[in-house]
Amino acid sequence: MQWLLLLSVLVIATCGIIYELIAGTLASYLLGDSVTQFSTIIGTYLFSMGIGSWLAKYIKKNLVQNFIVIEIIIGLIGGCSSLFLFFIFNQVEQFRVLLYFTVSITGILVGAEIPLVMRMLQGKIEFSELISRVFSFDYIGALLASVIFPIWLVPQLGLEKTSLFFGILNILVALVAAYKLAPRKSSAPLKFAGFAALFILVILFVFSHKITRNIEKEHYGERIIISQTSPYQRIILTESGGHLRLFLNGNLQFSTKDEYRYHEALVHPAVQMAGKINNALILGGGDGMALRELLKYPSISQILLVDLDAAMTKLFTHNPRLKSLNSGSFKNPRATVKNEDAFRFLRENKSVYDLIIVDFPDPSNFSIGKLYSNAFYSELKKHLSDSGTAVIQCTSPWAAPLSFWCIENTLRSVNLNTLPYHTLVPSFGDWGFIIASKQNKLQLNRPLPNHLKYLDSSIFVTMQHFPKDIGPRPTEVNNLQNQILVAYFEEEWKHVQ
Amino acid sequence: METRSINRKQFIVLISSFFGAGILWAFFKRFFTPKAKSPSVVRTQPDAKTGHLVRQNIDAHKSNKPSVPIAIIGGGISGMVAAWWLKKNHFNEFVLYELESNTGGNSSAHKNESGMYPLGAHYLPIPNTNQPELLEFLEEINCITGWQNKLPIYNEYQLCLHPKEALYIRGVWQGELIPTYGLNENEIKQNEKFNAKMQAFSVLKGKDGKEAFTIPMAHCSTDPEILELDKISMKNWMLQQGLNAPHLLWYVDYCCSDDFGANSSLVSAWAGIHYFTSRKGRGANSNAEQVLTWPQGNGFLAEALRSKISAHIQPNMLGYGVEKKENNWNISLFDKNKNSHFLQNANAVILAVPSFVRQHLYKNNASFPSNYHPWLVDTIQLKAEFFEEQKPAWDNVLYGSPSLGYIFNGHQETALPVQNRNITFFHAFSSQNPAETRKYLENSSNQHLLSGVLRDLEKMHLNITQQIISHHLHIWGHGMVSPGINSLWNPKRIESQKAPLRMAFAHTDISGISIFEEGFYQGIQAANKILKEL
Ligand SMILES: Cc1cc2nc3c(=O)[nH]c(=O)nc-3n(C[C@H](O)[C@H](O)[C@H](O)COP(=O)(O)OP(=O)(O)OC[C@H]3O[C@@H](n4cnc5c(N)ncnc54)[C@H](O)[C@@H]3O)c2cc1C
Repeated sequence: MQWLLLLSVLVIATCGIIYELIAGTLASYLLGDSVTQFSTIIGTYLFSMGIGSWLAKYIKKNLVQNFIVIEIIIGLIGGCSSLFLFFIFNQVEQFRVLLYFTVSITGILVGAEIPLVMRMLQGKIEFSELISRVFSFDYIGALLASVIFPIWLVPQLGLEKTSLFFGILNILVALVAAYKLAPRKSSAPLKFAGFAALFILVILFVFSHKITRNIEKEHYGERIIISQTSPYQRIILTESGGHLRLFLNGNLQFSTKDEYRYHEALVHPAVQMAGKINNALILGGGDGMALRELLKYPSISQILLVDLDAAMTKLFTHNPRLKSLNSGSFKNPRATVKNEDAFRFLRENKSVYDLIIVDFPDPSNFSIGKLYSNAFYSELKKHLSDSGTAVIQCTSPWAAPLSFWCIENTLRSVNLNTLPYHTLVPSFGDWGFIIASKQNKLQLNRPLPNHLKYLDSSIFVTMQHFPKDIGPRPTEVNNLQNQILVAYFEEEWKHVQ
Repeated sequence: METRSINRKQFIVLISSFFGAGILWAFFKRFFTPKAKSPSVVRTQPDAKTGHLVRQNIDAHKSNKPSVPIAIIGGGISGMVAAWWLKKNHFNEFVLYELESNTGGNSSAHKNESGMYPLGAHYLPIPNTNQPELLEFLEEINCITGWQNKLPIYNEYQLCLHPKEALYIRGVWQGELIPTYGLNENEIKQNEKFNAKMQAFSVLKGKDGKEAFTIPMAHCSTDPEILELDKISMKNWMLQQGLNAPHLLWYVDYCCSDDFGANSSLVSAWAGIHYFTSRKGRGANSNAEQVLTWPQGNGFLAEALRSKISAHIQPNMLGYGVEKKENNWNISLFDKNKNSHFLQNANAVILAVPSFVRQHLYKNNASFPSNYHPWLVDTIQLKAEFFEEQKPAWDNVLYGSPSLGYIFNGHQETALPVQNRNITFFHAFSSQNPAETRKYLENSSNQHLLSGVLRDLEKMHLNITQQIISHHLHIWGHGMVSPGINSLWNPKRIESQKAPLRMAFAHTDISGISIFEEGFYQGIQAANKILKEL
């Protein structure tokens, strides 16, 4: 009995420290500022242990049974804590509150354990022996936990499995106690509870990777209100100061503060340079904002939006907050959405459009680089009517001038005429666009509409001016065989960040 | 109180409970980390059993087939090109017999749910511009989409996309196959020296005014001084030149194995140098370093050829004897499906089979001993995650390995999403005694063969094994002819490749270098010979 209890002290101590370390690690993953997170969590934990020890005196009878019950509860709460915290992280705004609540509960329960064990051992060992043994085991457990946690557990198992594993250890202690220490007659329900808890934890342990796969673990220094992982990208929406920002794979796509600047500049000049527009095509642009701008023209009768990621278009069709950003454009009867790869769409379809808006992410990898290649633009050209225009978002000519002019040279290499322009979008910086067309002369056929928030015809003239430091320069043509644009882009943005 | 003894007991219990926890841990890790179900394995090889009938004296009853003007035996690239060229010349009365159920030979392909993949040949370098028929063919099948300044414009979707190749060396992936990462000064100098020498050879002309190294082989200079290079091994030539850096010797071994199925000790210096210097192809949008490739490899080219001559093809037919009958040829055939024998009378015959088969089919010619090294080709179906995480190039090679690494068969796709796809791993077994190696491969279990493949792949991509869905192992007992020392330009070999009147030999073996362009050339030559003599 004696060694059994001492051993349980060791296990409990190890488990307790582990839960605390997990909470601290998680909090610094999710909230940042690890010094603050760790010190507040350690503080809360130790304080809660104090409360637990104090509360232990109110447990007068049935020491063993209570010990077992507490052990099972610690196993469950501590074991599930990391899963639970990961899970609520997206859902709940009071993440912090729940975090400290979980830490306190585990602290209190662990705190109550040691006095209980000591009282159970009381009389069996001399008092001084008792104190020194219990505390030695306690501290050995603490050492053990803090050494194996960073070196072995987290890299090998990950946080979720580590906490579940120690939850299981707690439950095993409870079960051993139920068999060895508990009085016969009262032990049946305890054993049952122990096995039930064990079962739950083992199941969670087996499936934990499935549960956490879709949970976003990074933080953006802002409150995250949506975090989703689609087969193609991580979609994160954050909020601060009443503005929303969308990140795809960690790259900022828009901020509601100034997205109108970007989307007005992207859409309206191309519209006014095209001949008559009956049908339009948007490639990318799954946030529906370019669509929103286009729908302002009642004469455009059909708009097809092709975006790879159904998760994006779904979010921006149904989520109340997000659909208000694009004025519910996806529900407009003139708009159709197709979730397909844009390159495949162009290669497999024949329809011709009077306006094509190309709003892809920046060419930061080879998959996206293909969508800026001469092969892609040749396909694009086949779909463009003779008087039609295409407009392409082209990254920042200030941060990445070679990349910008490479796109321009690539468009020209397939015999499209081009009109490059740029403007300031404060969240992004100086941002570039290129209008491409089979028309010989690219100019505004009609003035830009009056109701725009930012753009007017006179500003558009200045947007076409490129100062020397970001002016045209010779580059290679981006093709599928060299993917030179990705190389330019990487090189140039490396120096910016 | 017996505190001491209790303490010792406690101590033992403590230690053993640590062990207990460790065992528990191992148990959890083992049983609860999701385990991939073990991948399925399919193993195939060319129909050697039927093929070996050519070695026997068969005395069976043969029914007569109606006589034809031309019969082609063998439906590899060479045989099919001969057929295509006959048709191009408005000659339609011919039949092509192929042993396997499908034409293609070494350029065959297969498919599974994740797409098509090659069983053998998998790329065509940008061809030299001195083979107009080849360019004509490529234009017919839309590999060449147009012309600019008299140079072909190659189909952008068939030119190998970026990144084309990657070498895993000392823990990093570098973007070229010739090792450059982590070299010391001397080693860098050797690379430079090697490249300079190859550059010089590629522009070298013989006393006869012909290029020293080009494709087709038949256009190469026969200047004896240059042909001296055929009399030593590539390896010895390298050492003679002071090119002895291990990384460079490995690289040259790799290249020789890639093209000839044999390493640099086994092939002649002439052949080795030919690999580096004969490709001078140009295109409006490409250069000699580029290659054309498809998910199914050269199966694409084989299928394009097949579709042009499909009405003439009779598959599952083994030709096992050709005899002169008055002014015609009598061809003995075995129909695998019907399990019966036939006699085909033809005015002319094109033997588009490898020399080691041909010598049994038509015994009158002197034979020349050649080595055919066996190949192991393993197509591995992998989960999408692998490609997302690892982003392989098209051709991925492991430095220091005798294998040829693998190609990624989904590489030419331009569209997302990334899905389960195939890679195809190649290993040519260079050895002094190919027959023995053949036997070894034949007798090896799948598991044994796969463990070799996985050893290499695991070095390149840790834990790739967990991502594997299936394997298709294909063993080529006689992969391709290797241009050994004193073989390519050996007068005896050249003599043995000469066919009598109204018979023609079409096979890459005639050239002695087994590549698509040579097969194409030999096919055209054979068809022309017959058209002239008929
Ligand atoms: C593993 C491997 C990889 C390769 N990779 C490349 C590459 O990437 N690029 C490249 O250019 N080349 C490659 N090659 C070389 C390849 O051999 C040639 O490109 C080309 O396919 C050879 O064609 P062929 O017609 O000369 O010969 P084969 O392909 O040998 O054709 C001979 C045909 O005759 C049939 N046949 C044999 N005996 C009989 C008989 N008795 N009766 C009837 N039919 C018979 C065979 O079944 C076969 O179809 C590779 C070869 C191998 C083995």
